[in-house]
Amino acid sequence: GTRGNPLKLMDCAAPRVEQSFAEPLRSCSWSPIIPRDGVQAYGFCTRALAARGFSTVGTAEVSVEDEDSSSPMVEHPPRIKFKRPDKTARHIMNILNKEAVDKVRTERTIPDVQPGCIVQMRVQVPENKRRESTLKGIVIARRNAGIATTFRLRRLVAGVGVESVFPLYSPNIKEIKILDRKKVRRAKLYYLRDRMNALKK
Amino acid sequence: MGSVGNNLYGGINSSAETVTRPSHCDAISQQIRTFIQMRTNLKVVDNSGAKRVMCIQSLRGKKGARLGDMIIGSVKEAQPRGKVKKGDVVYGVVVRAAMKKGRSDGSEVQFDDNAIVIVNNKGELIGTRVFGPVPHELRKKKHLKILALAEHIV
Repeated sequence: GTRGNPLKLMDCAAPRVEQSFAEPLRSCSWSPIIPRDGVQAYGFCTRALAARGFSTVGTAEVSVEDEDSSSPMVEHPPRIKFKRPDKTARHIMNILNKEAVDKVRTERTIPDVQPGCIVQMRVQVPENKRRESTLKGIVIARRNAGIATTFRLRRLVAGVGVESVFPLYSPNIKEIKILDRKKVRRAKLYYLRDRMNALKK
Repeated sequence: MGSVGNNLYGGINSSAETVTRPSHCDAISQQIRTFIQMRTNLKVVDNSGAKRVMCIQSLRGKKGARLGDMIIGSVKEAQPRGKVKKGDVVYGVVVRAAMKKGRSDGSEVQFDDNAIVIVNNKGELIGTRVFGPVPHELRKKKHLKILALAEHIV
C-alpha cells in the first residue's frame, strides 16, 4: 500500500537514518501528499518526498540530496507513485491534440456545432469522384476527443432517415453553416429517432 | 408510413395530462444494430414484385452481411403480379443497413432500416427501378446498375 512504500524506501535507501525518523513518517498521512515543484514544508517528510518524486529529473539540488540519503551499496530507484504532471503521457497527448486542433483552426474557421443545431455542410467524398455534395440535417450528438472530435448528423434522404458521423476537423468538410439552433435540454438527442416532429416547434 | 405513426403519437401525447419522458424506454428501444443474418427481415426497394424477404444465408462474412454485401433470401411477402412470387429463393444486395459502415475518411453512415434489391446470382438486377437512397459503397462492389437507377446516393 501507500504506507508500505515509504517504509521500504527508508529501510533500503537510508539505513543510516535513525529509527526516530521513521516514527513521525508513519504517523503523518501519506495520501494527500503529491510530490510537486512547490512541495509543502511538511518538515520531516520533505527530504524523503524529494528523493522519491524527482529522482529521474536532473535538477542540481535534488540529485545532491539523493546522493546524501542513499547508501553506496544499495542502488534502488525510489518508487515514483505520481509522475510530475508534465511527464505523463496523458499530458503530452493533450499538448499534441491541442496543437493539431489549433493548426486546423487557423486554416479554416469551424463553427461551434452543438446538439440541436440545424447544419448545412459541403463535403467532398473521395468515393464520389471529388464532387462536392451538400448535406443538411440536425446534429444529434457531439463527441469531444481533441482532433478526433466527431458529430452525428441526422437527415432525411429521399424518405429514409440517415445518420452520419463526421470528424469535425476533417479536411473533406469544406464548409459548415449553421442554419438554426434549437433549444434542447440534452447532449445526445437519440430520442429523435422515434419522433421526427419533436423539434418542429 | 412512419410519419403517420409519429403524428398520431404526437397527437395522443398532447391530449394527455402527463408528459411521458422518453428517456425511460431508451434502454430497450435503442438496440445496437448488428449484421444481417439468418432470419433477418428485409425490405425490398425495387419493383421486382417482392415486398419482404427473409435472409437465409449471407454470402459474405461469418457473422453476417453488411452494407453492400449479397445475401440469399426467401420471399415472404410479394405483390400479386410481379417477377417473383412468395416462397421464391432469391439473391439480394443489401443497399441500406441499420448497422453503421465506416468510410475511409473517418466518417460513418447508417440508415434507419434494412433494405435489399433483388438480383440474380450473377449480380444483375431483376427489377427496373430502385427506391430510396443508396450508399457509395456499392460503387466499390461493382453494382453500378443499382447506383445508376438510384434516386439519391448518400
